[in-house]
Amino acid sequence: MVSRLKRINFNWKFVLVYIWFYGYSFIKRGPIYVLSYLALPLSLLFFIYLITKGSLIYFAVLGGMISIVTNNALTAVGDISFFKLELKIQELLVSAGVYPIEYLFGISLGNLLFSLPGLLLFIFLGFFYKIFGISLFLWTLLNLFLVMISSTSIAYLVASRLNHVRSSWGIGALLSVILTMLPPLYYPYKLLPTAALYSLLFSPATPASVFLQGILINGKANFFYLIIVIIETMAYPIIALKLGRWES
Amino acid sequence: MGIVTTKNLTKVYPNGTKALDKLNLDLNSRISCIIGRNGAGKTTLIRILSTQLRPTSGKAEIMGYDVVRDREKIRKIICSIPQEVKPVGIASPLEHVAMYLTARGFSIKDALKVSRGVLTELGLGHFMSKPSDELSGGMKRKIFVAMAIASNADLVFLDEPTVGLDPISRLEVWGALRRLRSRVVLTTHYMEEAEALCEEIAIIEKGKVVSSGSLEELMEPLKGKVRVEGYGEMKIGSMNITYLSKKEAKMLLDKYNNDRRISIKPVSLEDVFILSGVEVEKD
Ligand SMILES: Nc1ncnc2c1ncn2[C@@H]1O[C@H](COP(=O)(O)OP(=O)(O)OP(=O)(O)O)[C@@H](O)[C@H]1O
Ligand SMILES: [Mg+2]
Repeated sequence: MVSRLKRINFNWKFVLVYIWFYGYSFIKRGPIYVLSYLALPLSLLFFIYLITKGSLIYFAVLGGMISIVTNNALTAVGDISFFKLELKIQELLVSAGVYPIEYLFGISLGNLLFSLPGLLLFIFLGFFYKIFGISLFLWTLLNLFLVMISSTSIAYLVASRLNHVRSSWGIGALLSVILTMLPPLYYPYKLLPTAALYSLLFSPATPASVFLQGILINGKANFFYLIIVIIETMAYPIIALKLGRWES
Repeated sequence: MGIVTTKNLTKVYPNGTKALDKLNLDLNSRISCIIGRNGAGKTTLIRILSTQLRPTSGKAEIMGYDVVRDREKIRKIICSIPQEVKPVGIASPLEHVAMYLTARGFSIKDALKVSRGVLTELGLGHFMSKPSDELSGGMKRKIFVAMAIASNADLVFLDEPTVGLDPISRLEVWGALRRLRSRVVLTTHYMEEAEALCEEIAIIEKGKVVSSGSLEELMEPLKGKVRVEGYGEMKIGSMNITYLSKKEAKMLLDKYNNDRRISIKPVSLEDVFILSGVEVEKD
């Protein structure tokens, strides 16, 4: 991918301006979206706190962060297909020589901007409940970044192959359940039978969460899961660029 | 080397619709225009030329570059504004144009400066920082015309650029296009636009070029004729039309004792358009 970036002369200026275009102006003029990403993790945090009398709150905070980032990436399914099929903005960018990888980065990072307020709140909670030492905190940031890229790639791939914008909302919601509700984000991964755990590994949220929970519970990292996150972060964009439909 | 050259260009959509049928075209002027009825294949042609859509068979070249093989090179030198492109409601005109220009390689500073200039030139000065969904339909269209004008591309494709623009705005756009250094290929349903702006006009019908040339060349068969409405075999909607020499028309009027239902008008590109449509219907 790096050699490809070099060959295409990666246009960072476009990516920056696209973040401004797609992220900043959306937040400025439609802040309700920021809240919508927070609603689910915060309510789950609330229920988990009530039901487990606070004992699983650690998982809910860590998992909540991964959930914010992943769900945020998945809403890009709707945006990407809307921009492509309805607004024809993608068509405009294709003929302007934008490369799909630049578009992917613009959308990922624009989305990150959306996630930031929620993430900041959860980071605050993480420190408030003394979940984060400095090392777990840094590992968390790294994993969130990787999950953001891999999930956005999944979103791009799915969106680019849709023929009707209407399908995108349903698919986005479905993906959200599969990629964030089933995986062990809000509960300890040890509750899962091994077979179930392995079969959920395709969701980048799963290995990221298992890796972080490992540090949280055992105090030491199981790098097997981190490697899976890294592999997925390289593989999903490549698959998305190969199989996604950039042109019509 | 032509600006746009196609040879037997054919496009069959997955649903079986043949939108282009061995289309041969050669455009060489600074501003050329493609006209044709709804569904004639104009948008399909523009989308193939701007490397958006792959042809089913045949060839198309832009300034010597093949639209399939050399598409990345073509994208560096063209700007193409799709017929149905719409702004993102929440983003402003300035954000749109600046985003587009950085996509084309402008620095952020230049992009902002040029965008402001062009948007002001097109009368969107007061609206450039408002969310686009607060703009009128014509203003929204102008955002994209502004991109083309600001793009500094060697070749600009505009698919119906002036739909929904008021007469003054349209004149402003024409002025801007005339001042441009870029070559322009546009489609339009406004015959006056083609007449006023284009050195070369191609009429396409059912996926083929039925005639092309300068306005004078296209008007040649109608030289010395006038359009007579309310008389003749040919029916457009509920109106009969025929084309006669001035002398014949005068005799006709005399014969029908200046019947109010018959009227005489000078011929224009519209008549070339009507006649080429009728020719194709006959085939
Ligand atoms: N995506 C598509 N799938 C299938 N058929 C299509 C598609 N787009 C266009 N067509 C068909 O191809 C033909 C040419 O359409 P096109 O949009 O190129 O016409 P046009 O000349 O641009 O018309 P208009 O003046 O209305 O814009 C039409 O018969 C249309 O129905
Ligand atoms: Mg069209």
